[in-house]
Amino acid sequence: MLDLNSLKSEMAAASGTYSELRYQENTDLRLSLLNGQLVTNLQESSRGVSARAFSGGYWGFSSHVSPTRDSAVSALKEAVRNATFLSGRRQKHAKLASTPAIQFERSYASKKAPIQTAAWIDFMKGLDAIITAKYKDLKARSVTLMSLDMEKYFITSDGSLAHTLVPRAHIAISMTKDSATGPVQARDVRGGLGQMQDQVTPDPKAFEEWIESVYQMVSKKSEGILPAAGEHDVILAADLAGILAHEAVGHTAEADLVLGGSVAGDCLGKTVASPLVTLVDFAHTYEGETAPQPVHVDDEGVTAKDTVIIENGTLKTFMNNRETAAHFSQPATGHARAFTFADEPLIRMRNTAILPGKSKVEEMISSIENGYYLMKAGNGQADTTGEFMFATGFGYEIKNGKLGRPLRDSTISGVAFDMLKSVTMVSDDFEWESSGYCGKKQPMPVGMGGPAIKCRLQVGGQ
Amino acid sequence: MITIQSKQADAILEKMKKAGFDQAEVILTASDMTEMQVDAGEVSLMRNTEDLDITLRGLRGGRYAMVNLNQTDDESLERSIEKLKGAAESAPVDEARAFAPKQASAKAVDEGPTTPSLEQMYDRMAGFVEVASTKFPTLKLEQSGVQFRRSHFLRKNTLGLELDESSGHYSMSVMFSSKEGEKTSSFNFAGAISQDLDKDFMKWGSVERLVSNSVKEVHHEAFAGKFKGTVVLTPDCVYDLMGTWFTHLRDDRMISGTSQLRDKIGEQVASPLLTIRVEPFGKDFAVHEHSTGDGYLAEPSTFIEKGVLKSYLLTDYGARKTGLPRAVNSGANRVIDAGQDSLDSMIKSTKLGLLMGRFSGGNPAANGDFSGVAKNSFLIENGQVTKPVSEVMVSGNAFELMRSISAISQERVNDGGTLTPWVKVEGLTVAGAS
Repeated sequence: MLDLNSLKSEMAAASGTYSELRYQENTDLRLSLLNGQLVTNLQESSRGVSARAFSGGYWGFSSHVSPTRDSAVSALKEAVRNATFLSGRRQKHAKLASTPAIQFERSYASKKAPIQTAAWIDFMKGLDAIITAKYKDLKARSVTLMSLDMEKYFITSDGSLAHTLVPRAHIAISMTKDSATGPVQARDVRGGLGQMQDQVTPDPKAFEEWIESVYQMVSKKSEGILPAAGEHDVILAADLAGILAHEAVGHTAEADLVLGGSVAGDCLGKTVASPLVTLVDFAHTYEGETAPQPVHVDDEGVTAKDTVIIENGTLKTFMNNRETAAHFSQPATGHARAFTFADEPLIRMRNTAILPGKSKVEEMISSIENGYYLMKAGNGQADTTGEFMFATGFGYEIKNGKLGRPLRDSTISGVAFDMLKSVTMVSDDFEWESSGYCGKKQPMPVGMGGPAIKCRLQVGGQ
Repeated sequence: MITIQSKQADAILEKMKKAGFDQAEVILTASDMTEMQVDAGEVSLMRNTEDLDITLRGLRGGRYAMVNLNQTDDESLERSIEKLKGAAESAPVDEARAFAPKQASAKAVDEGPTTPSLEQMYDRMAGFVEVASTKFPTLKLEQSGVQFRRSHFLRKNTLGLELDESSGHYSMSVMFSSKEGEKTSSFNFAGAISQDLDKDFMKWGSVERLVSNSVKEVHHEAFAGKFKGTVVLTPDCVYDLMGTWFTHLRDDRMISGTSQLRDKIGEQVASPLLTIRVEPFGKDFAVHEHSTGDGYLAEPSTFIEKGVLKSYLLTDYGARKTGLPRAVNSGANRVIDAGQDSLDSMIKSTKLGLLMGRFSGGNPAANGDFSGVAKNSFLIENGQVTKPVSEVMVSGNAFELMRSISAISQERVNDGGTLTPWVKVEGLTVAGAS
């Protein structure tokens, strides 16, 4: 194991320069059973060392796969050389916010003994056997297991030193069934923080209820309708409220996107949402429990703290790295994260959530004469204008305050702050969604959460 | 760049055979990348990475597994081979798993530049930032950059396969939006690939057109109407919508039996105006597919000719699994044949329609139904592109869309890897926010 501490003198040698050295290893497992056939049987590991240097207002970065002291020294020299290449061409007055040095160590590795791949494959076959024995009218089914462990050691020239290991593991089931309008699919995923043995007991029988719920979903969808296109009163369940918090609002408040012209840039201190809406990017803990993607210290050596983005409807702050924190004179709260050893840290969300309110979901449904209850989220995208769209995978129409026919796949869209201002009810429950990856140059595991919210937005359909 | 050699691959294959694999394959990819990145309108980061990827694929008693690693030391390799062995042992026997045989006509390939011109990379990128800010003062550049990548790929297996490919190319990508006062346009992005830096970045692919459109898009208006009719897809979003259709030709849907295009070879599945070829060695392209993902030498093909489906896009595994023919390429270097109409005449003949720049949609349903938001799009009224519109939902069905193509432009955009025209389609539902 490379001892980063022993490289302090090399880091100090580049005077006038801030630098970081990071050793990182990502390990992932993907197993996928499609119609009983093991179509993916893959284990990956990547490790290496990288350095980033800040000099004359510019950043230089370099990485090597060989995790040796020599590689680390080379990476450091090359990072400084790269920053100098840029600073030699033009003047720039960027600065970094100074933050207190931190010494930190935290591993979320499982305390249980690891389970061999063979046992996981047998477990998946067991789940598949339950599906095929019980549900004869499926056109296709799949069972997927996926896990990712990210382990980082880093040191900064201003004295921070950290070691973290954050794993996550998930299991997903998908079923496809024919309908009068062609095949429909339903998918559900379970899991979260921890290694596979923490998340899944390899006993297929323990999952029968869950399998039944996915079957119910695909069956209802096969008889489902498409929502009428247009603007409607809707209730977004926690799954969708979380994506909304991340995609529609979170991205526009990332300081690098603010500098790129995002709509949130002009809204600091202004009302952007109903007073019922408070939106927080949690660092690592919510209500005394560890959030799905805990970040205690970021990849610039900054102690991670919760960032309250919207408080009772008012936009309070952006999410910053050290450079944008200095630019906007806002606190750096630990948002700089890199996906692999070869990636530079970017401003990323961690666990973004709308806080629960006081309403009951039943009251929310009964308050709608004509609208939709949207329960399952697919992928989504946000825009610098605050326009967003995301896919909905399941739900019900609401007629005269009661749930009606089930819904097939559709899309919802709107303008983030307009939609947030239309929120009239927020439920008193809360759920995390933990399997998401955020895409922004590099992928990144994130947590998203929320209660159910009642709002108005544009629904797709035909 | 990390040196990778044929004898290194042989040594790994030997270890895999010793571990009990009947057939083994190793893929070594070494690459060096240099990047200059623009953040918030300034070249602010220079980054270089040295990468190595080793893929080990093994078959043991008909049981298959794959492991990836990025270290060459004996301990890492042995640990990975052990993992591979464990994963294969637990896999079910699958007769469809096989490795590509020796490709008799395979020759070592080396194309493109070997080292980056750093000064030129900087000058082009900084020059672009300068021109963009002077010519389009309301444009906001977001994450953008220029990249040079040189890679060496070596693939060997115990059936005698040996592929040796080296290549280098530059790529650039720009992400941007425009802002006037508090009004902002949707973000958009453009990019292209080239073997040299001879041309200004504005002239690469769709860059100049999309950047100048972005400035106009600040004045977007919410579209209040609803119609079922014409949408002209720009080359930048043709595959956003056709992508759904392509998935029905690939392994997942074909193997699971959920493809809507299975058994449609020889049938009219798209408009007779549509011909899509794959040209892995297209001389106008900067990157080429010399061999397929499963180790066969790539060949050119036509997979839709005048709307008739000629080929699936199955891998070797997908082909064995379904008993259907393997595609002779992965479908990467796609060329849509130019049509008869000029873009201008396609617009002029449209009474009411949408010129769609980007489609932001959810995963399409299994039956091909899709819906999403039209971004960076303009309204066409009485044969004229009139105004940028926002909050427009577009929905339809991927299979109907392919059949409803009513015109294809003579003009096409080459992004260094694909050649794509404007495509006019009918019968999509276009609905405003209210």
